[in-house]
Amino acid sequence: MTSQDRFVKGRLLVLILVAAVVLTLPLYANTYFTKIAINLAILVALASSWNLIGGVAGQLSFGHAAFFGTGAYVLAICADHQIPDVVSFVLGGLAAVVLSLVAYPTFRTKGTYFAIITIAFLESTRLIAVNWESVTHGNSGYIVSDPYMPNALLPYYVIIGIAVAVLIVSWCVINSRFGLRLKALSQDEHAAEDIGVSVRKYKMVTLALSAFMCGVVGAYYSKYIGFIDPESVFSIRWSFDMIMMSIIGGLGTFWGPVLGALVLTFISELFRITMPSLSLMVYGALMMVMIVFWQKGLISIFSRFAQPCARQGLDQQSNKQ
Amino acid sequence: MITFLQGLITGISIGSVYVIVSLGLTLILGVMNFKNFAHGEMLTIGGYISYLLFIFLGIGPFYAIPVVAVALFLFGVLLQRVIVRPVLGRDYTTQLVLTFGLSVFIQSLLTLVFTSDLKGIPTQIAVTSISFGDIAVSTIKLFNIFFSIALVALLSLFLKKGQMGQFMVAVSENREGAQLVGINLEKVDRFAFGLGTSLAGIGGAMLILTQAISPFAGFHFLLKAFIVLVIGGMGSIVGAVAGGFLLGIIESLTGLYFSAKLIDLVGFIMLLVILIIKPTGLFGKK
Repeated sequence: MTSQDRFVKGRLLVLILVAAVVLTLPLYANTYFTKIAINLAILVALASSWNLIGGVAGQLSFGHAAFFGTGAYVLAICADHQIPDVVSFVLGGLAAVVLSLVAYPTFRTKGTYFAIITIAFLESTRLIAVNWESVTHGNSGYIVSDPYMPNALLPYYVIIGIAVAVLIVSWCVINSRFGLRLKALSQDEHAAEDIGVSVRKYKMVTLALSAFMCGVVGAYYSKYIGFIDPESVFSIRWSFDMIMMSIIGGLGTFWGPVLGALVLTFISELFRITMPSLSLMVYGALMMVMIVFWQKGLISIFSRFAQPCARQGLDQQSNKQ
Repeated sequence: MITFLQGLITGISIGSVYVIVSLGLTLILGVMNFKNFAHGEMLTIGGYISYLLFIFLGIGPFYAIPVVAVALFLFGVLLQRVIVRPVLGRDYTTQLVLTFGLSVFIQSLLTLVFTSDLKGIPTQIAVTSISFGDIAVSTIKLFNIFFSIALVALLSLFLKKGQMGQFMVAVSENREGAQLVGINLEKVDRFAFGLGTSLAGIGGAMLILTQAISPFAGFHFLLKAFIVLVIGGMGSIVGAVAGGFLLGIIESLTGLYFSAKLIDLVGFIMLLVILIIKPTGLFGKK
């Protein structure tokens, strides 16, 4: 008992320390670091949203950039009509939810077909954004009116708020009966159906949730970056990054995407100035190595730290035997 | 009518590349049930080898095709040894993520070497054309069409008469059974992966005859190849041929009668509709 108390206290202390650093960062860090922190928070939020459907529910979607891009475009259009930011963010998320309803039939396919169909879905949304010039301005791109002022404090705190909200949702999903059922259906859909998990409903709700969060982050990105075009926001790179971070960190775990985002940001900053395409090469190689040799992800290093009680129980059991 | 015929021939010519690339994909899929997401990059590599041969050695793009075929065959055998064999039989997520990682790796490697600019081969042949009545067809388009037909004929002959071809058919029909009657699975896998990769490379060497390529060209063709397989059925040679030409023709006519910007959208929408109505592909079993 005492060791568990100590553990909980220690964890709380770490959490408070991290929160303090995160909240005060822009006060002492220079703009370069603040920018990295903003990018990191965007990636954490995206990866954690993707992880719910891609990791926990095991539906390896390559199409999530479509939700991100939709959110981005909705904000750009809202900004032209002087709609308040908060409302635009929510609208961006809701538009992504509507798109996720359209995407729902893709769940009829499995395995490789699912991966292919989600790529086709993403490419279709991109091509629609390219062709629907009266709304999206096509390939020439959309200049977002009234974007965030560069070097201001507001964009930093907004994205931290969004990322924390996403993390809370992710935590709640993963540590709930809902999350357990998702894990069950990711293992074996028929078996899950047999024990009373409504597979279609669970997939739909999770996809919509995941899409909503991606849409909100997309809307934020649009407001933050100030200029979007189909090539940049509907790029498969976004999907790829989400998948990558979850796999490197640990598919289906809460901390996995966060850890993956940290690693990804570190690598991309390492090579950003010298050789940007080298970082992609490292990602590719890392992805191959992780999936073959280390499927549980980097988080498995910390698994002892993360679950001491379960571990102790196991040790005791094995001692008895 | 003349525009229609022109569009048709252009479509068949584009389709011939689709046919060759999808054949490679379907071969690997049929024999070892391995979905190679890096298949498109084999096409890109083939295209770049052809480009290098022309720039540095002055070898014409037609003569480059056999060189590319051999080089990519060897590369395929190597990949099979190093990357594919360890994950054969593992779950699809592993195969998918592994080959997707490989695809990203090769794309960025090619970007490092060649930059992301388009690279093409400036040839005189591109402008020469042969006229049939009122229709003028460029020599390269004709070459691609006849070359692909010849290649398909050769491949079917090989699968019917060749010893290794027979083995491949046997393994694709029943893997355990083939092993029981004494077929060396390892050897067949290696050969099938080499041949499939080689076909993708040939597709790249054909592609660079008609258009310039970038390191990201292959991924596009991977998607097309999957569309073809979904139309024609996975693991079927006839299906891949029919689907490839059909997709090329549909795309070309869309560009002609609607808008060039819609060309890619048609294929994706076909894929979405077919898979949603029939999740295992148009001629899928199960």
